[in-house]
Formats: sequence, structure tokens, C-alpha cells
Amino acid sequence: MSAAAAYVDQASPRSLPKAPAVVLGTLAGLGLIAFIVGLANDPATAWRAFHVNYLYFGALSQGGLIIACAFVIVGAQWPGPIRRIAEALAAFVPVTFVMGLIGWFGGASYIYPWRADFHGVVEALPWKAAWLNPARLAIVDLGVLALLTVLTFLFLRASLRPALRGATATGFAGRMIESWTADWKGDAEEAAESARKLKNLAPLIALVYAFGWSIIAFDQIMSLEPTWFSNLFGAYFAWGGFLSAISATTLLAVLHRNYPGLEGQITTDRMHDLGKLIFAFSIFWMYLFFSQYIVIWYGNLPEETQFFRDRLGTEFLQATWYWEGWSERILGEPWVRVTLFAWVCVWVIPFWCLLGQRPKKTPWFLATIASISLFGFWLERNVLVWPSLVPEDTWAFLGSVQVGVALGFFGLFGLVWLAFARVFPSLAVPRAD
Amino acid sequence: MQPPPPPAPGESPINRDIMSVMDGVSPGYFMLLGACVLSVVAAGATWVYQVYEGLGIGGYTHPIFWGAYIVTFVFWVGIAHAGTLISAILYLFRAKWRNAINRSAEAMTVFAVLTAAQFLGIHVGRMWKSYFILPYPNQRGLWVNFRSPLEWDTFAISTYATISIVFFFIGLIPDLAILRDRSRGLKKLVYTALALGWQGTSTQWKSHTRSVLHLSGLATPLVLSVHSVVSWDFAMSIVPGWHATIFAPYFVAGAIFSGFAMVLTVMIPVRRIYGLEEYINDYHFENMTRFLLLTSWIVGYAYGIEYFIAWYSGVEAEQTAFWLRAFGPYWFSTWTMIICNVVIPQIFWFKKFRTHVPTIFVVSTFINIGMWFERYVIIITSLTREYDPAVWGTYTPTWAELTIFAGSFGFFGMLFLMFMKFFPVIAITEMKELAIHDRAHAAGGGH
Repeated sequence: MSAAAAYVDQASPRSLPKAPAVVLGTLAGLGLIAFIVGLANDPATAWRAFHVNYLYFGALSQGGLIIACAFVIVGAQWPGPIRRIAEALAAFVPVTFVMGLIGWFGGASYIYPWRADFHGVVEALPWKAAWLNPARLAIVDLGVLALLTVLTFLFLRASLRPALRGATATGFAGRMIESWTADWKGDAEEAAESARKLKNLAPLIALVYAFGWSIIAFDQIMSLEPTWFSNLFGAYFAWGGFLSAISATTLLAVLHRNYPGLEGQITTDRMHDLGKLIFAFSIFWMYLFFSQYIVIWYGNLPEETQFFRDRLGTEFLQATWYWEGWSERILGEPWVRVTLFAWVCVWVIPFWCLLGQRPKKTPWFLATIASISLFGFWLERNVLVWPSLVPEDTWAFLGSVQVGVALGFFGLFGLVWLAFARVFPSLAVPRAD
Repeated sequence: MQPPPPPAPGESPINRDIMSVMDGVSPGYFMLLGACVLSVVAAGATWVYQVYEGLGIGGYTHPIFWGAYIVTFVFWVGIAHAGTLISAILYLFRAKWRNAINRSAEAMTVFAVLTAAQFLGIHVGRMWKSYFILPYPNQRGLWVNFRSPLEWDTFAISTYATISIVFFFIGLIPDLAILRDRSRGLKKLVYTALALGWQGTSTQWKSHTRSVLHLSGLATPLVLSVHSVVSWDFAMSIVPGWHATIFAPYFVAGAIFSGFAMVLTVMIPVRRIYGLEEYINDYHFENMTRFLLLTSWIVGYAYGIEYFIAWYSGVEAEQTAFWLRAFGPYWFSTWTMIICNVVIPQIFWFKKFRTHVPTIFVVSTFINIGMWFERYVIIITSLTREYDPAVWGTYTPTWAELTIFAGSFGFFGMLFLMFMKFFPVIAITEMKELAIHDRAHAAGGGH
């Protein structure tokens, strides 16, 4: 990716943009209401919807920081302000930790079959009690989220400190800026210190993400089907979080191409590079999906095939395949249509639509593909969770409570991003000098 | 990549330095080449004897029918990955540090694939019937089994060999023209034919650049597909320790890891003997060792997750297989693998060691050893301890396997030594291009 002179930027605090803030705030409020209504009427559905969205936005926000870490590790000079956009996604990481706490202490018995034993799995799987037990999961998974929250804070502080120098704001943002720029040692020394800290933190965070979110995927998704196991599943889920963060970064970059101070920064070359990342990494996502599927299909062991049977139906597990009556046979089984639609959004559309150069360089088109990819990952997260719990009910994820909770998470995520990027502000603009 | 400007006086040392490798052939070179040829002859003779006597001399007996031949096959396919990664993927990522090593890595890819391919024939025994595996209309009414991973191997490896050879050759063309212009007699004739009339015109450069870009795009998926297919030779079966969904990405990462290590193991002595320190310097070592560290962690992640899921699955055969890997009769192989591939490379967290050439040489050698043992662990421990304890057995490589194993290194070494004699080990035109870029940057020109 094209080299450029070292990019130096300066934080430029703004106020929260009114219209988006009102819309996002309304969505967050609606989500809270939907969740409360759900708790009153159908707590299992409300908590399961909560679980899906906590996992989706949690992995996405942490993935944003992993993008920044990757840029630091490889010494990428092409991204410019793109790194700040990705970093701001990580503002939601502490919220993820809080959501993890709420989900565990509030809804675990509605989410985990082995916790409530509503399918009688505890008796069926006595040997798993050593791993699938409440205390162990709470300590390990919440510990991972807490550790990532601390590491994220340290990374963001080290990364933003040089850009925050000289920025002025009032209220909480002002106090934060003051705190994050305390004991200033001089511009050159601070820049060097920031680079040194980031170089140390980036590989560490990448490792904790890979191992930590793999464990979370095993514990909080794989265990929903307690007899199923796949050793690729952790990496598959973590990669999805990373790719969804690239799509979110791309979408936000395109939306900010006329942002005051960033005019001319979201260049065609940068959009082209972001498009290439979505294209290439969606192929890798497909590769991971296929690697998992083909081994399970070939082995044809019931303890493994159950995962695909609940999502893709029995037809995808047959030894032979034929076209006759394919639509009734395949699409007639529960969850198949949703699974295939998610697959089309996450891989088929990004792959075929971003093959050429021009689509990657066309802002509206690139943003559309990034949005489809993001929606696809939201669907995919639903498909990972719901069929394990309600294998026969294809539309279990699409009630008013479920959609309300999803919109609530979206609103909260958007608000946190906007506040951190613009008001705090992590979204620095190139220095005038 | 822009067409390079006409040669400047300051660039001639690049020709001189890099071609000194081809000119400076010493008695030591011939001794080494002789040793390689001898080991190839010994391996060839052993193979002929095996054909005469039967696969039993290769240790093929119950319960082991995949032994050191398949271990070594997987090892060499893995080695073949660094070249394509460096030439194709790092090219697409515009990583400049690849320029000093891409030529030798591409050559190693081609030689390693050629070495690996022989093991399929050696392993199946009746090598002269290898063509049975090719799907073509024939009077015998034979058709291949497309569901057999061995068949997938045939497609994967032949595709990879084709692309690797084409990639290697296309990259060589500008340098072949330089060799053509400075050689005489028969050599000139050969280089003239190989250079395909290269004159370095802007049109030719444009076509060349476009070819390399398109070939990179084609070769990139192959980096993933080839070793994934090799991994499925194992993962598709339900042998304990083999049937793992993580195998494909885990094998690919391991292949890149071992390929990079081999490039370092080979190029560090070449660099030292022929005085190429200026071209392969700290900058390259720093980046390559970081890559080793990254892939070491991916491999370590896979080791850890395999053990965890074997335990978590509750499948007794899986749990036993992994317990026996660590504490059974082959514990030595497992711990060698873990120490060489995961523990020792951690030294590269320290910058001091990332640029300390003797340390890099030693660590990369350990990685080569560890990666061979990784395949040994996967294949041997699982086959000796399958589901029924009544049919468990033990395995020790026979003299025939060890001779052919040593011969494979001799074959690879022989090809590489001959390559050093007839072709530049560092891409001359790419180094010149880099020098022009560096000078432009130093002068403040930028891009």
C-alpha cells in the first residue's frame, strides 16, 4: 500500500451532531423499552436477542482496535485518518464488558442450555461440568473482557495523546483531554514515546484478542449446542469480528469524506485499499467457513454435523447432490434461508461486487457493499446463536422485541462512536503545519 | 512498478555483487554439490531396491502405512509456501523488504515442489502407474475418485507447480537478458533463448509488470489452497488427532512458517560466503523474523486449541490420542515440536535478536527441525494409536526411509546449488529499481 510521509494529526473537538444524535438516542431508548417489554413478557427471547447483539457489537468494536494494531504492527503508512476512525470503534469495548456482566448475571439461565439445564444436557454431559460451569465462565470470559478493556484504554491513550495536545473542550471531554495529556514532555519526545508504547501494545492486544475471543466464542456460542465442538470455531468467529470492523471502518470513512478538516483525506486510493481489504478478507472468511464445513461433511459424525444440520438443513450433509426439486428440499428446512442469505451478504456480494477497481473507488457503491457486509454479519451472529436454542423456529430472531433490542444496540453503539470520535475527540484531522 | 530509467554509473556494483555468486565457484561449492549428488544417488538406488523388494523395506507394516515418506512429503510442500507468499502476497501488499529474498524463495518453491512430488510416487509404490491418478478418457474405462483427497493433491500440487514455475520464470526474464548480454558461447545461446528477446523497452516492462500482478492474484489463493488440500489428506478421515476443522489454516500457517525458516537457513550462509550483506541486511532480517514470530503464534494457537477441544469434546479416542502425543511413546517428537516451533522463536520479541544473524540462523534451523517433527507427530502418533488398543503398534523409520529422506535434502540442495551457479540469487532489476527509489527518496523526491 502506498507509502506516504508520516501522518501527523491534531484533535479537533466538536459538538455532538444534533440530527444523528437524536436519531441514535431515540433508537437506544426504543431498544431499552423493547428490552424491558421483552423481559416482562418473554424473558428468554429478550435475553437471547441481547446476547446476539452484545456479541456482534462487542467483536466489531474490538475488531476496530485490532485494525489499528495491525496498522501499527506492519508499519502501514497509507491509512492516514482511517486509523482514527477504526480506533473510535473501540470506544464501545468498555460497554461490551458492562454488557457481558449484565448478560451473565441477568440472562445466563435463559441463554445457556447447560446453565438452566432446560434440555437436560447436564445429565447427558457430566464430563463437561469441569468447563461448562457458571463460576469458570464468569471468571474467564469476564476476565478476558476486563483485560481487553484495560489494554484498549492503554492503546487509545498512547495513540491519541500526541494528537490531543492543544485541543480544548469543555465539560467531561475537557477533563478527559486534560487527564490524557498531563505531564507533557515535549512534542518530539511524546511522539517517540507514543510510537514505542503502541509497538509494544499492538502485538499483545492482537494475541489477547485471538485467544480471548476464541474462548468467548467457544463458551458463549459453541456451548449453546453443548455436544457440538469444532476447533476452528474460535478463529472463525474472531475473524468475523475483525472483518465486520473493516466494513464498519469503510462505511464510516466514506461517510466522513466531507467532514470538516478531513476534506481530501478519504482519497480514492484509500477507498480502493479499504475495498481490497473487504474483498480479500471476505474470501478468507469464506475459506474458514468452508474449511469447517468440508471436514464435518466428509467425517459425517453426528456430534459434529448437528451444527450444520440446525443451520443448513440435512440436504447440505448428503453424500450425493442433485438439482431436482432443490428449492423445496433445501429451502424448506428451518433456518436455511436465513443462513444462505447471511452467506450471500457476507461473501457472495462483497466478492462479486468488489472484483474490479472501479467499484472499490466509487464511494456510494463501496459504502453500500460495506453496509451489506455489516448487515450480513449481524444475520450471521443471529444464525450462530438462535438455531442452537430454537432449531425449529426460523423467524425466532425477527420479533418486535428482537428488532427493538438490535436497534437499541445500534443506537448506543452509534452514540458512543460519535461522542468518542467527535466530542472527545479521537477523530483528529491533519495538522495544518 | 514503473519502467526503470537507463542504467546510471552508480548501479553497476549491483550487477557485479550479485553475479559474483555465479562467478565465484570454489572447491567448497563442488564438495557440497558432490555430497548432494551422492545422497541423491544413494536415495535413487534405495528407491530402485524398494521397487524390487517391495514397500516393506520402507517400514510399511501394520499399523503404519503412512510413515516418513508422507512426513517428508508434507514437510517439502510446506517449504514450498514461502516463495509464493513472498512473491505474490507481499508483492500485492507492496512490502519492499521482499525484494532481496524473493528470487531465492521462488527458486526454493519450485525445487521444494519438485522434491515433494516425488514422495507421492515413492509412497504409492508402483510409481510407473502414477498416471492412473490423472482423469483422462482411456480404453480401460478407469476413472479417478474425485472424493479422494489424494486426487485433490494431484490437482493442487500440479497447479501450484505450474504457477510457481511460470512465476519464477517470468520474474527471471529481465535478469536473463542481463546474463545474455554478458555471456558467450553456449551459455549465450541458452540465455538468449530463455530471455525471450527481452530488450527492456517500456512496452515490455508494461507487459512484464502486468503479468507479475495478474500472476500474483492467481497465486495468492494457491498459498491457501495447496496446504489446505494437503491437510485434508488427514482431516477428512476420522482417525483420532487428524479429524480437525482447524487443520487447513493451521497447515497453511505452518507451511509459511517453515518456508520462511528455510529461506533464512539457506540464505544466511549464501549471504555470508558471497558478501551480500549490503543486499540482505537488518531491515530484511527484522521483517522476516517478525513474520516468523507471527506464524509461530498461529501455530502455537492451533496446538493449544487442538488440545483444548480434544479435552472439551469428551470423545475418549481424541482425548487419548492427545494425551499419548504428549506423554506416550512419541513424547520426544511432541516436545521437540513445541519447543522448536513455539518456545524458541519467542526470542524474536527482542529487537537485539531480530537482527543478530547467528541467532536467526540457529532459530530458523530449529524451526525446520520442529516443523518436520510436527508432521511426524501428526502422522505417526495417530496411526500407531487408533481406536482399538488391540491393534496399537510402534514405528521406527527404516534405513530405506532415512536414506530417501536424506536424499530429498540432497536433491533440494543440488537444485539450489545449480541455480546459484546459473542464475542470480537476488533479482538484479528489482534491486536496481529499489536503489533508484531510495535515491529519489534521499533526494527528497518522494514518489
